[in-house]
Amino acid sequence: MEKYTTLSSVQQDIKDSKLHLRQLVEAYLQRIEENKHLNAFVEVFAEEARSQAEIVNSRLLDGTAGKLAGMVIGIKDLICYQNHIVSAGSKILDNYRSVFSSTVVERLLAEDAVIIGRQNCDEFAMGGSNENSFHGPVKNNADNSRVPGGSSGGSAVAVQAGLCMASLGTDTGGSVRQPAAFCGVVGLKPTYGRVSRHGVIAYASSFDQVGPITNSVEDAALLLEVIAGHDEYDSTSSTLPVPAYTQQLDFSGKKRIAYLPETLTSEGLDPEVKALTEKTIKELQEAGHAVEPISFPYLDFVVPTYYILTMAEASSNLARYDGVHYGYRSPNATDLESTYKKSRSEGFGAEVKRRILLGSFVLSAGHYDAFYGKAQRVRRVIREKTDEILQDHDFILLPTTPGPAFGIGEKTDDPVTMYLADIFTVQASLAGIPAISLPLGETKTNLPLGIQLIGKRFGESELLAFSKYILNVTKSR
Amino acid sequence: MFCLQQDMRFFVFQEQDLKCMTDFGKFTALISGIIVHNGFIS
Repeated sequence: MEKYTTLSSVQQDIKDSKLHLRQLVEAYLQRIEENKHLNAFVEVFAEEARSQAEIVNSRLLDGTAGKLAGMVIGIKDLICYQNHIVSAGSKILDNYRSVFSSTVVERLLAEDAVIIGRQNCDEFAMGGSNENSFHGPVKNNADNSRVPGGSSGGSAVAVQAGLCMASLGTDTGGSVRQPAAFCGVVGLKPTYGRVSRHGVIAYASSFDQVGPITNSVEDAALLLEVIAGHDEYDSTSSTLPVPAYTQQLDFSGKKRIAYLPETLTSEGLDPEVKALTEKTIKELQEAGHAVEPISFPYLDFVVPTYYILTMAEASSNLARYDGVHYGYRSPNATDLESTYKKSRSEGFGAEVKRRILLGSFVLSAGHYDAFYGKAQRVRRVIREKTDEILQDHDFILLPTTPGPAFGIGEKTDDPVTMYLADIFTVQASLAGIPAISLPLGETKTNLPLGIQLIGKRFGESELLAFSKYILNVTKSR
Repeated sequence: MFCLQQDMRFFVFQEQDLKCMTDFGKFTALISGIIVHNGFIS
């Protein structure tokens, strides 16, 4: 069967009776089976997907279908779906069945999406390689010896390998954009508050956002249009109206774009990533856009600030997993204290324990002001400086990652080096503004590379339209 | 590491879990950068 990369082509073929949605679902199920070695899905909802496909196909033919009719989508194993297991990639929630659906899942289903399964991820979204999952590591489809990125690694590989048409991931410090870059697909982190977090297992609540991973900018726009908007169950969700992103994808005119020279001289930047970034800048300049260097002197501080704040929030959010309320309870516990200690000790993986411990360290009485209080102030400075750049410029352009996908096991013994690799994605997370990773190149060894565009707060329409334009400009390479 | 254990005594884990903190020194070195930066004194 033809590999469909956009929803519009699926819908057209169904309407023209060239395709039945059930056939498409069967094709994806077969591909998932053939590519089990990638470990992208931790559970496949085969029978549900088949019956939903029959219903949606009929609706498409009689003209009553929703916007996402024909879209076969996977969800990260962090997003609650009623009566389905959601484990957050952790032993402590293994076999935990969600009693309600997240708002994003309800909105997908209301528009007739077919949810085909839940996708592997780093435990509680903590990681940048998808090696921290209780369900085992995910492999990059471009090179099986390499990581797919993380934490939404399974979600990115599923789109990359054609196991579904799109995925919903979550992005705290780059967990949608970084795997999208490593896998050669589109990954969007919306503005903080644009999408409801209700029913999304929390890691760092002042950062977490759900975002789409797709083959095309058009599908990312459509998914955002469906999942965005105020939700009474999430008081941080914005009441701003949701634009019709799919109707605003036509771009014309010239833009003013900033690039940060510090990113191009950053230690550890791969020469091929640097070359791709410089080439993209040059192409945009040749197309008549003003692309100019703007200094961002805080680049060295974004990673420490991000990790202090997210670990502090994680240590608080993950206190609820205690072996009492829900999830794993140690069979070796003998009293209340050992129930807490042994359940957490046996239930959490090493990276999660590390972040909880470091988070409680930076929040502890003797260190709170020096670390947590200071990091909050630094976050404000980073946000203000970034907003200042975006007052005079439409976008900020920078690499998504310092290098291409690295080897499985290459960095597991050195977590601090792994944290430093988030240097280009955490700026937008700290500032709470939208950013997208676009598959604009490859290394000489055919590993995908991503370029990131950061947009203005709630400026997803402009960001998506320009992203579509950039992909067209660079297609002619 | 001793200080860390003192700080963590209330934090419900087992002693053996501190093994995951072998990079504690590297982490504090990483985050200490923000303390000394004059630009951030408010």
